[in-house]
Amino acid sequence: MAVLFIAKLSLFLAAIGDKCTVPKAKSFFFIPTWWEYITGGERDAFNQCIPHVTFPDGAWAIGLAVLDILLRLAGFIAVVMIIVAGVEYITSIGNPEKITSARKRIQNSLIGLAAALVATAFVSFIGRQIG
Amino acid sequence: MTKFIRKTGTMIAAIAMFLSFSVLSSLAVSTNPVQSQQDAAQTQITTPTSQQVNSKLQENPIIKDLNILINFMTGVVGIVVVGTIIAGGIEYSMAGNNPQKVTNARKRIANGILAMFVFLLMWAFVNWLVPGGIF
Repeated sequence: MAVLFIAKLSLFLAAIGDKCTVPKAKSFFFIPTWWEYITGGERDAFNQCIPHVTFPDGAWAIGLAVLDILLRLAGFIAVVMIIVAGVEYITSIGNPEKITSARKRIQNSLIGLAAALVATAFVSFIGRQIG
Repeated sequence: MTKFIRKTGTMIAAIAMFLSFSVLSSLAVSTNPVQSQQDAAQTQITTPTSQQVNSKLQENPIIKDLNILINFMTGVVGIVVVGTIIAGGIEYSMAGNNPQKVTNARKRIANGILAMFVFLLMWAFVNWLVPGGIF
C-alpha cells in the first residue's frame, strides 16, 4: 500500500508534460488557494494541470496568496468577535461589568481589523512592485 | 517570532555591512591600476564620469550578487512584516477584554514595523556607502 502510494506520488511530482494554464479553483468560503497568483502550470500523468513553481517568482506569488488568506481570516475573526460581543451586550441585562467587557471586546476587534486593513495597503503595494 | 525577526534583522544588517566593505576594498584594489595603465598609454589625464563609474560598478560581480541578495531580502522582509502585522491584528481581534493579550498584540505589531524600519535604514546605508549607488 505504502509503495503504491509513493509510486502515485512520484507520478504526480515527476511526470511533467506540456504547459497549460491552471484553472481557477473554487474558493472555499471566500478564502483563496495558495496557487491563486501562479498562472503557469504543467500537465501531470493524470492529465491534470498542476501549478509550476519557479523559485523566486513563485515564492513571491505563494507568499502573497498566504497573506491574502491571513487577511480573509482576520476579517472573519473580527466579524465573529463583534457578534460575540453583541451577544454579550444583549445578555448583560444592565450588569455594568459585562457591558464594559462587551464594549472593550468590540473596540479591540475593530482595532485588530484596522491593523489588518492597513497591512492590506502594504500587500497591494508589494504586489504592484513585483507585478 | 518577534525575537526571530529581530535576530534576522541584525543578521541582514551585519551581512550587508560586511559585503559593502568588501565591495569598497575590492574597488580600491581593482579599478585604480587599470585606470593608471590606461592613463599611461594615452598620456592624457582624464577623470572618469559618474556614468562610467556606475557602469563599472554594475559589471562588478560583488555588486551583482549584492543586488540579487538585497532584492531577494526586500521581498522576504516585506512579506514577513505584513504577515506579522496581520497576525498581530488577528491577535488584537481575538483579545476580547484581556489587557495582557492586547499588549502582546500591540508589541507584535510594533516589532513588525520596527523590523521594516531597520531594513529600510540598512538599505539606505548600503546605498549611501557605495559611490554612485548600487540601485
